[in-house]
Amino acid sequence: MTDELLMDAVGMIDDDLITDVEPRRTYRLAPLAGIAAAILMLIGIGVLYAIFVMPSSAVYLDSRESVKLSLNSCGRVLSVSGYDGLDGMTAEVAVAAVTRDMLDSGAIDAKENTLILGTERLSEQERATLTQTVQDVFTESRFHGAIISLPCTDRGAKAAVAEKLAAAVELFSFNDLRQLSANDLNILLHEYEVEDLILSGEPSESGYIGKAAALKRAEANTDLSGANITVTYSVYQGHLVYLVRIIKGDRAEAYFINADSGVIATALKTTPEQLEQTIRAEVKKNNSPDAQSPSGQRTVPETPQTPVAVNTTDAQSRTDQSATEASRETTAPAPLPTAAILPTTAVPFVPTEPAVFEKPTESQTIPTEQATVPTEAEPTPLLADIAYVEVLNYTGAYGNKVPFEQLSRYDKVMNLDGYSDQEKEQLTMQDNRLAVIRSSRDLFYLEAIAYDEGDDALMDYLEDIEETIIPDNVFFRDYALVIAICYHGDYRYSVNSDIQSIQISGNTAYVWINCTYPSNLFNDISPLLHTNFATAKVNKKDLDNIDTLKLIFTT
Amino acid sequence: MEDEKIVGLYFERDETAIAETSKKYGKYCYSIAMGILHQREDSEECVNDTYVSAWNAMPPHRPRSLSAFLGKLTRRISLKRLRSLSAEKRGGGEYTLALEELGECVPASERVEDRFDAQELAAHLSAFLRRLPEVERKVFVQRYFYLKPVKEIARSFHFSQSKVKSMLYRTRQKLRETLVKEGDIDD
Repeated sequence: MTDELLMDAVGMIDDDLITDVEPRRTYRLAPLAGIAAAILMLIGIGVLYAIFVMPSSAVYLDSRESVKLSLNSCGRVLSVSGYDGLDGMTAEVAVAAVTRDMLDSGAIDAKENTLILGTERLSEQERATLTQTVQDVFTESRFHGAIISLPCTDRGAKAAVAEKLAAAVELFSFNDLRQLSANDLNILLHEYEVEDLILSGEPSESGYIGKAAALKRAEANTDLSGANITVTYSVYQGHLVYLVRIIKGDRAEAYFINADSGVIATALKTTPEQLEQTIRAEVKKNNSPDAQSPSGQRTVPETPQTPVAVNTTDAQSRTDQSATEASRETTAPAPLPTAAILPTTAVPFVPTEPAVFEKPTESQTIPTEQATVPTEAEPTPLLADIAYVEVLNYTGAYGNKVPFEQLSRYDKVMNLDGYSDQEKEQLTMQDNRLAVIRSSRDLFYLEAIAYDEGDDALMDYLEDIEETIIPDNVFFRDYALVIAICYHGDYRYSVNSDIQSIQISGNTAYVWINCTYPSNLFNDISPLLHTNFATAKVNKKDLDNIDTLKLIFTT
Repeated sequence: MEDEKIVGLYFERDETAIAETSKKYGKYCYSIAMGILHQREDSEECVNDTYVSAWNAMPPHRPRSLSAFLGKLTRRISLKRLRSLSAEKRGGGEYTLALEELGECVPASERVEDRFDAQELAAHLSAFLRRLPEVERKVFVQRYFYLKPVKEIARSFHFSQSKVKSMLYRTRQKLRETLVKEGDIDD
């Protein structure tokens, strides 16, 4: 019998070899287990990513600058636009840090004291906590700030405010409102009733001429003495304006007065019955359409909550309350007119008498793209007050110059793009011309310098300007037009110049500069060397289109 | 019941030991016998003989693994029964096939029993199997201890039959080399 012994020997092998014969269960499950483990790992990574890395909410802080804080689901900061070193912090800590930085850098100051805090996908309680955080920073900094707190989308906090205002007030368009500063929006929010947002503190009005001054300007341009007058804030061509309504008998007038400069943007004449409709038509005609507004819903147009009612007579001024009520009655929206009996548009009204504050007279109307450059035939103002210069995209440490007294009203500087630095210097010395505009990242600023030749001290000072031309409160993150004005005259006298506003219309940037002098020097125009900065945010499209700068000096 | 208690019953000469063994290992023993004999009645008789042999062996023998002890008994009894049957009955069974396969490990001219007894050869086999990869070892034991058909082994391990056959062939070649190397057989 062959090999049966071997078969028998197989039957006698060790016990453990006999009992351990079944295939491992893991043979078939091993691949599945691996896949399952991989899936679990991916899910785990996904969960961890969702918790710690993926943005789940955001906080927007809008003042002169706009900052977005992206937060993860744990409420920790993932990123802060324009800031480094805040990652991983809690939202409260980061918001406090950004607010302090805004205060330190001047993004929030006494003139623009409003901060808009918008939260995206955060609870009302969380928003309230962050609002309190901002308030605490204001308090510890002894700063009288104002806060607008509201939920928003990824369009940002300021857009959310503009959207709510546009939805609540028929006169306003979203596109015009979004051009306003945070402080301007806050002023409007205090004037008109808007729901679903929280206001704390009072917006600053220090940058504006004030309702009383607006009233005086309107009074100076009307012959309706003893009329009922109301002054409210409004928006016109993307700017904050005072809307002065004057009603007497069967006559009514409305003045849109720029809140910054006090310039009368436009004036309307109509009847009391047609006043509101005329105002509405004028505003709609000039305001930007709301093509991009996310909200198509509007409410019924309303009269401002608390119009400032002023009567021009002493007797009437003693009855403010009744006057206010009377004014409300007389300025209430009239029924829609029919084409047969009423004009469809108002006739623009230009005051016949020179304004007390502003000059030249053409500056009383905010220029439109159709506006023409004034000619030499225009009345010469007391100051050689309007410089018409070309904006040059020019980079370099360089300053053009022109003696102030040599400025003609519409002095035009040649384009220096094709000139070497040496040639520019020669031009400077020979021509005493004005203005360069330079760019640094997305910041554009104009340097307009004038000085007397032969004065070493002034020369030194101008050289210093080259280094200090950018004020601390100008942020490179934002498009800004920065104007620096330097002019001089006799050392014996001084002049203060404040840039009231910068407005863009078409390809022209208009800069209103208010000059104040000692009264006895009003006619003795010898301004001392003086440097002044002002900034205005303009969007890139507008900025790119600017090729002309107008400096409008007012006293 | 645990194996230790069942063995204890044997040592106590408690007849319930048979019942507990049948209850726990009856199917196991029957499958081994059926794999060799392919006849239900013969297989059942072999299983009963297994119980009797276990009763006689314990005591004094105390198996470390009751299942392996019973398996070996069943296998040996079944093979004995098979060998006592006629040559016609054995033909076509897994035993015959397995025996022919194992014949590859031994030169045709040599009779293994001429040199070794089964006990010594089993020790060499155990050592050889321990050196094999786990799967190859299990497949080998399934095939030549339990005499399971290749098809069943393939299904059990989720292999193809050709893979099992190939694996068994390589293992037999290794076994042959080992036996030659150890001087158990001539090359």
